[in-house]
Amino acid sequence: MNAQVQQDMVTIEIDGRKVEAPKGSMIIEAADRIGIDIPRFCYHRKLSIAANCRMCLVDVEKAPKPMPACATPVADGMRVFTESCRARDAQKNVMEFLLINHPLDCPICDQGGECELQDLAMGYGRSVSRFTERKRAVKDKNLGPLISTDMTRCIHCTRCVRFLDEIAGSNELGTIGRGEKTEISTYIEHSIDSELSGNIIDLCPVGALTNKPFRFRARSWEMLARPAVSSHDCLHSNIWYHTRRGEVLRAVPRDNEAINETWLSDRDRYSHSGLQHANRLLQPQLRNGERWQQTSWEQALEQAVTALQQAGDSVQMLLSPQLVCEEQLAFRHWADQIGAAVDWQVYDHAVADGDQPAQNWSHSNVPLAALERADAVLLAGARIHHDQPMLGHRLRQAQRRHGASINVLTAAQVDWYCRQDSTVLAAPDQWAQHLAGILLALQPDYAGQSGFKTLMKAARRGPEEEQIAQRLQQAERAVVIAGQQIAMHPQAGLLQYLLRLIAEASGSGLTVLAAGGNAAGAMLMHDGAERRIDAPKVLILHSLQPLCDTARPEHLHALCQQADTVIALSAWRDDDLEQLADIMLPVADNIETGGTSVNLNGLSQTFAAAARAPGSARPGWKIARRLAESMSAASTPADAQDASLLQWNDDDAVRQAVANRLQALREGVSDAGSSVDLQAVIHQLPEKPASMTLPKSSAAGQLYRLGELPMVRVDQLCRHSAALQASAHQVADRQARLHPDDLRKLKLNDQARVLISQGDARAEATVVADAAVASGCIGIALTTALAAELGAAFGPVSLQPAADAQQTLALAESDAGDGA
Amino acid sequence: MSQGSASMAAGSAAGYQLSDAERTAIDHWRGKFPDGPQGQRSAIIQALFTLQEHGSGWLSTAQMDAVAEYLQVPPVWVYEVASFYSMLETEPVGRHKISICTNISCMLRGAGETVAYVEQQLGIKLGQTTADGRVTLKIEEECVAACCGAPVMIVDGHYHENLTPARIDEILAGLSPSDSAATDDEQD
Repeated sequence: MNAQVQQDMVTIEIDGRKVEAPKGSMIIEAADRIGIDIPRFCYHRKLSIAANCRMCLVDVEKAPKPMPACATPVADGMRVFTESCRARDAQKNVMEFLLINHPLDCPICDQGGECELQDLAMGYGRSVSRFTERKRAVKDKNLGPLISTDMTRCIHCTRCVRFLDEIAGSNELGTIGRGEKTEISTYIEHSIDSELSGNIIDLCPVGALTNKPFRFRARSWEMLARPAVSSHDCLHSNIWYHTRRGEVLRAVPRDNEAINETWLSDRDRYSHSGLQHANRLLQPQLRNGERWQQTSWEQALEQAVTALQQAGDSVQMLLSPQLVCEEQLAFRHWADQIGAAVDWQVYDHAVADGDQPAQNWSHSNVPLAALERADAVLLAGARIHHDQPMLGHRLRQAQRRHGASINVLTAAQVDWYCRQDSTVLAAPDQWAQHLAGILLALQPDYAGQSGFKTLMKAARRGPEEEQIAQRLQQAERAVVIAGQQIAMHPQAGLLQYLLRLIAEASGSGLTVLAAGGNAAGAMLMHDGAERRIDAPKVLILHSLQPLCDTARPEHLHALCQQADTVIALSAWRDDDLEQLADIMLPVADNIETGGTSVNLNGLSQTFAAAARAPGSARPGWKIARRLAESMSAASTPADAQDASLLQWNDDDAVRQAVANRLQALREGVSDAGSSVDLQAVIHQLPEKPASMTLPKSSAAGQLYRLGELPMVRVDQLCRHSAALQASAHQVADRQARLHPDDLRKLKLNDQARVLISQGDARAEATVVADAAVASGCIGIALTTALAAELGAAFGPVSLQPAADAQQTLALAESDAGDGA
Repeated sequence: MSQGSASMAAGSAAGYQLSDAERTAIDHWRGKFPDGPQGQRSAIIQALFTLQEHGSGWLSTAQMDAVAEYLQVPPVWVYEVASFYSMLETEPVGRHKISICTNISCMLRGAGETVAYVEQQLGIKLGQTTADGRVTLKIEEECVAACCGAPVMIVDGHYHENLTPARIDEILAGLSPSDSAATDDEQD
C-alpha cells in the first residue's frame, strides 16, 4: 500500500517549496494545497479544466514558454516559479487583454468589492489602459427572476457553462459565436431553470452574473456574514446569511464537503426573502367575529390561557417538522406538562383505516458523500432534484463519475438530469405491486412466505423489475432510496418495508426520505409522545398552514373547525390561518431564532440567530414558556410540574437542553457514548406493517391521485419568497395533470374544466395533458388552492366535465333547498 | 448525456422533421465517432452541414433542435457549433455566397478595392443579401490559405484568385440569375 502511494506521488518544487502531489494532478492544485496563490479565473476545483483565461500562467523550469498552472500536470522534479519575472509578465499581459473589453463600471457593479477581476487587477493590472479603441458591448440576457446579467462584463471563463453542464446537468448556457463576437448565452431566450442555477452567480468571477433579488441592495463590506443551516430539506446545507442591521439580504453557500460541498440549491439561496414579506405577522391578533383585531401580547396570551384551561387535556399541538429542535423540545415539555398531545408528522397519511404508518423522518445508512460513489440506485417515489436538490446532484455525479445505473419507480417523469437505465412509470396505487416484483426477482422465496402471499400474487415482475433487481444485486455499492412521496403514501408502511427488504436482499444501502427539513430532529425530540387525539378543544399550530403543510388538508380543516379555539403561532398572516384560527401569535422563523437541526445522516448542527425578528415576533419556545408559566401559576404549584421548560431563561439554556437530550440519545445506543453523530439513533429500519394489504386501487373510471409537494412551496418561508414564487418552479394553481390517453378515455379535451371529486370533497380545475404522468394517475400539486379543497394527497378521485358537474350541483342544491 | 436537455429541445423542435436522407447522412457521420456523448457531439458539425446543404442554405432554430434531439445532445451544444463556424448560417442567405478574403496578404494586394467593387456591382454591403435573394456577401472571412493568388474570393465554395474588376464581372455574371444555383455546384 505504502509503495503504491509512493509510486503515485511525485515531488515538485513551487517557489522553492517542495510539495508532494499525485501523478496527473495539476500544478495549481499542489500550489493551492500549500497556500501559494496563483491568480485564476476559469479554474475551479469542482469543475473540469478549461484553461481558457490564461491568468494562471507560471514559469516552469526548462519549459520554453509560461505554462497554465491549471492545465499543466506535475512531473517529478518539476520546478515552478509563480512570481518570477517571466510569470509576472505573462500574468500582467493576460490581465491587460482581459481588461480590454471589460467596462470600467465597478462603482455601479454589484460585484464591486467582492470581484475576482477587481482584486486581481489591483495586483496585476496597469493603472492606465493602453487600449484606446472602442470596447465591445454585449446585450444582456434575461435569465429569469433569480439571475441578473451584465454580459459586457463577461470574460468568458465559461465557469457557468461548465457548471450547468457538469454539476446541474441542465446545459442551459453555451459559448455562442466566435472571436470578438463570443457571448455566453442561452441562444434562444429562456430563463435558467436548473434548481441549482444560483450557483453560477457565485462562480462568476466578475459582475456578469449577479443575484437579481439582491441587486443594488448592499455592498459586501456593509454586511455581516452569519453562519446558518438551511431547513428546507433534510440535508441541511450550510449557509452564510449576509445581513445588514439584522436583516438578511443575501444567502451564499458555506463550504461543507459532507453536505453541500460548495453549492447551494436555489430554494436555500432565495427563500430568505420571505422574511421581509409584506404579510409578516408583527403583532398578536385576536378574532373578533369575522374580523381580526390587533392586540397586546398580554391580552392575547390571557385569551390563550383561558381557552387552554377550559380545554383541560383536550389540547392538540401541531408543529412544523421543519422547526429546529429547540422549538420541538419546548412544545414537547409543555405538552407533557398540560397533558396535551403533540404531533409533528403532518405529512403522515395514516389516518384512515388500512393506512400504514410511515417513517416520516429522513434517515440513511449511506453518508451523502458516499452516495456519489454508488454504482446502482433505485429511486422510488422521489422527485429527487425537486425534493432534495443536493442529493439529486450527488446521484448525478455517481452516474457521471462511476457510471451508476439510475433506476426509477415514479408516477410522473421529471427531468432527472441523467440517464435512466430502467423506468417503471406507474400510478401510486400500483407501486407496491412493482416493488413486490423487484423483491420477488431478488428473492423468489417470498412467494410462499406467510403474510406475503397475497402481495406476491399481485406482484408485477416484468423485464424492468428483473433488470432493476439484477443491477442492484450485481452492484457493489447499490443504494435504495424511498422518496418523500412514499412517506406521504397511504401505504407508506408497506412500501417502506418492501424497499427495506429489497435493500437487504440486494445488499444495498437504504435511504428513507421525508418532507419537513428537521423531521429527524423532531422525531428525536418527540420520541414517546402521545401523537394525536380526536377532536381537540384547543388546537395549537406552530409554523403551519392548515391547508398547505399537510398530506390531509380536509382532515386538518375539520379539526380546526371542530376546535373551540385554534391558536396559530405563525410568522405570516396567511389566508387559511385568518379563516381558521382564533388567536394569531407572531413567531420568529428558524433563521431568526437559530437552533439545532439533525440531518438525514444524523449530523446535528447548531447555529445562532442570523436575523432579527420583526415587530413583536418571538421565538416559539418563549411563547410556550410564557404560556406554561401562566398556566402553572393559575392552576397547580410550579414544583408539581416538569419544571424544565420554566428554567429556560435564554437561548443558551434552550440549546443546552437540546444538546443534553441529543447526548442522552447518543449514549443510549453506544456504550462509550462516543458516537459522533446520531445516525444509529435515527436510522431505524422500517418494520413489517401490521397488515400487508394492498392499497385501495381506483375503481373503474377513477384515477389515482399523486400529491406532489412543489419544490418552491415546501414551507411558509418558501411560499413567501417572491423570488422563488416568480421562478419557473412555481406551479399553476388549479391544474391537474393527466396522461393524454386518460383524457381521451374520459372524453375530455386538453385544458378542459372539470370537477374533481375525492371522497366528499369537490373542486373545479383545469386538466392538462401531460405524457410524463403515468396512465391511471392524476397529478395535483399540494399547497395549492385546488389541493386545499380536496382530500388526501394520495387516493382515488373521479372527474367529470365542469359543465355537467354544474348541472348536477345545481340539482343537488335545489334538492337541499327543497329539503330545508 | 442529458435526458433533460434533450426533452427541453422537444418543445421547440415541433417545427422540423428530419427527412430519411438527412437521418441516413447523420447516421453515417455518427458512426465515425466513438460511442458516448462526446462522440454524439462530434457528429454535430456534419449533421448541421448536411441539413444546410439539403435545405435552404441556412439553419433554423427548429432544424438545430431537431439535430440535438436526433443526436441526443443538449440543444445548446448545437447552437454553439452553428454559431461558431462561418460556413454554417443561422440567418437566411442568398442562393450564392461570396466571401472575400481581407486578411493581410489579400489586403496588401488590394482586397479593400475588391470589396468596394463587389459591393458596388451588387448594390449591397458586406453582410447583406441582394433584394432578389441571389447573392449574399459574407461579412468576415479569415485567411483562406491562398495567399499566392491574392486577392482571393470564394464563391459557393470555389476559389477565385488574382481578382481584377474584369474577372469579378465575369464571375458575377456567371452566377445563375434566378432560381437554380445547381449549375455552379456542378463545377467540381
